[in-house]
Amino acid sequence: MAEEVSSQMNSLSISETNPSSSATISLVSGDDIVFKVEPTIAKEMETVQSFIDETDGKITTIPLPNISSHDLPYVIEYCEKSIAGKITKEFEAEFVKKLNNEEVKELFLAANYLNIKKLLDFLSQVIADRIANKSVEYVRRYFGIENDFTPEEEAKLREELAWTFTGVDPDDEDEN
Amino acid sequence: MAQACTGERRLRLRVRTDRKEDRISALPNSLLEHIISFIPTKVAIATSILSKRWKPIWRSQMNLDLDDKSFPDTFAFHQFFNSFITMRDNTLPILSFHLTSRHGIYSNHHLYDFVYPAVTRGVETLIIDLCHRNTLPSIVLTTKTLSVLKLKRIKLNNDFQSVDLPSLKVLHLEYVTFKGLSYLHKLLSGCPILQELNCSDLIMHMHTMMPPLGFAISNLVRATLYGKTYIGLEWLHNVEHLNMYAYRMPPTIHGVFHNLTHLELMFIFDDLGLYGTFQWSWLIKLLQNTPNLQTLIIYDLYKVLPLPLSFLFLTSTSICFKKLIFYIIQQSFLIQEEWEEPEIVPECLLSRLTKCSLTNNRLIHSQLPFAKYIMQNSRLLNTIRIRTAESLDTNTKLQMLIELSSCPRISPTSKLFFV
Repeated sequence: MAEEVSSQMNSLSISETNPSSSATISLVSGDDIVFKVEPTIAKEMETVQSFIDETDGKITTIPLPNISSHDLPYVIEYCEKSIAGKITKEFEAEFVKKLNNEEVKELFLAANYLNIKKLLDFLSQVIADRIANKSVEYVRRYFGIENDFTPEEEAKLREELAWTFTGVDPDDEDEN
Repeated sequence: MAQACTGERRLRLRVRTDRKEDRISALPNSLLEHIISFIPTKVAIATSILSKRWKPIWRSQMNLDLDDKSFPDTFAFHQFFNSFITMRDNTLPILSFHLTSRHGIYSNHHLYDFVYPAVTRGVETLIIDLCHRNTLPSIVLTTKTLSVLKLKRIKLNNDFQSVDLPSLKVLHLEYVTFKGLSYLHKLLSGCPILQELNCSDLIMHMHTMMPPLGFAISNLVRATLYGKTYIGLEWLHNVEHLNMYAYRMPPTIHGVFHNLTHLELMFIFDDLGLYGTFQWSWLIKLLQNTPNLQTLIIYDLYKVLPLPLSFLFLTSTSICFKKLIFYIIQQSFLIQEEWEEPEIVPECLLSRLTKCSLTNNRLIHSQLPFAKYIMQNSRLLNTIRIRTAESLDTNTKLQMLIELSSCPRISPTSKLFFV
């Protein structure tokens, strides 16, 4: 059975007296935690909304097997700000400060899965900023990419692309 | 969870996998290309070494962002650019092209080579930031797909024949050189749907050849004017947002700005009268010509720039020192002017103004009486925000606060914020 938890965001708490609360959407994370959100939030998530539309709004419990209960609150928080028209540079800077590399990637995948264009663009920019001017090894580690070039192939490519590696920052300790 | 099961048809996706697995590379190309569209082209090309999966991805980059700084000279960059363009997937458009150069002067022929692929592949955003004043290839000025054009340190003084930018909505010009005013006018006339104009320190070789009377950029919504821009305020009479930083004489005010709701002004208020640019009579005239103004923000830049720097700032576009001295003398006479209540309260105060903010306020030169005048006369005032300069001592601040909070406010709902 899914355990019900209220979202950490106060503004998401459902008012008992609100008659529209019956329309609340339940999002079920991959680890079976239910997040209750207002329908306006669901609208921001195209995947969820098209599911609701397809069933004529009869179904309000949506399983999101690919998104963990750790990541979902971030997505909800972003959508909430987006609806309120409060996505500012300051908010985005604060938002991303809380996230380590692994979380950024997870949220990117979540944004892609839920089809939230604004969040996807924002996280693409975050990822882009985090891999810019980093060494090849760093970026491979960052994405978890397995190098499938032979040493000869790689050496040849490195020679051809030598100019692109000027100005690369020294690798930091892994931030995760 | 019975309801949820019905949804599985659509929402069933891969089972959540181990975090260590390379889930990014498992994504479709379109998403890898999406990430790549946010990184500089140089880094995008470098991703081809990550793995075989990534090798061809950079070729699909549609937002090109190139900088010549990792190349030994302009020749090497030009050579690289040509081979890069041949190797990219040219069935795809170039949606945006951002070129930054810190190297030196490119020949007209080189610059043409740089912009040609973009303007012939549907470019929508073009940003050119050069360090020497190269000449913009005139082909750019007839690019029908162009929606955003930002130019920095470039000349537009070749005799361009015609300007046809039917899709251009945003135009930013910074340190751009024109042969004469009529060229600036010609450029703006060729942008029929322009909505946003940012101009900062334009350079004009000849000041003569004024644009025809009655010229206006009629669809313009936002305008930002920094320094000497040669833009007549009367050209902007439809704007809703106006942001102005005048470090010389404030521009002459002609006509009424019926749509203007948001006005931000940056000036140097100066008690020594050396660098000041502000005139109260000018502000009053502006307020009288903006009947629908809702927000008024005034920054005092005096201490934001340290004194020697603000001096440099002033001279940055001055042609010769003599002129500057003359200008300072001229300004020091102008600054003597004190705040005087206008005979008629400006219309916007009576019926529109809800927000007023004075930033870096040292409460000199009548800034305090002005703040009080706003509080006494703005009937719909919601907030008045006064951010005092850091240099003010606590005692002075306290006195000001007492004086301001005891000042009667005509709007019953107005709030005073004093920082």
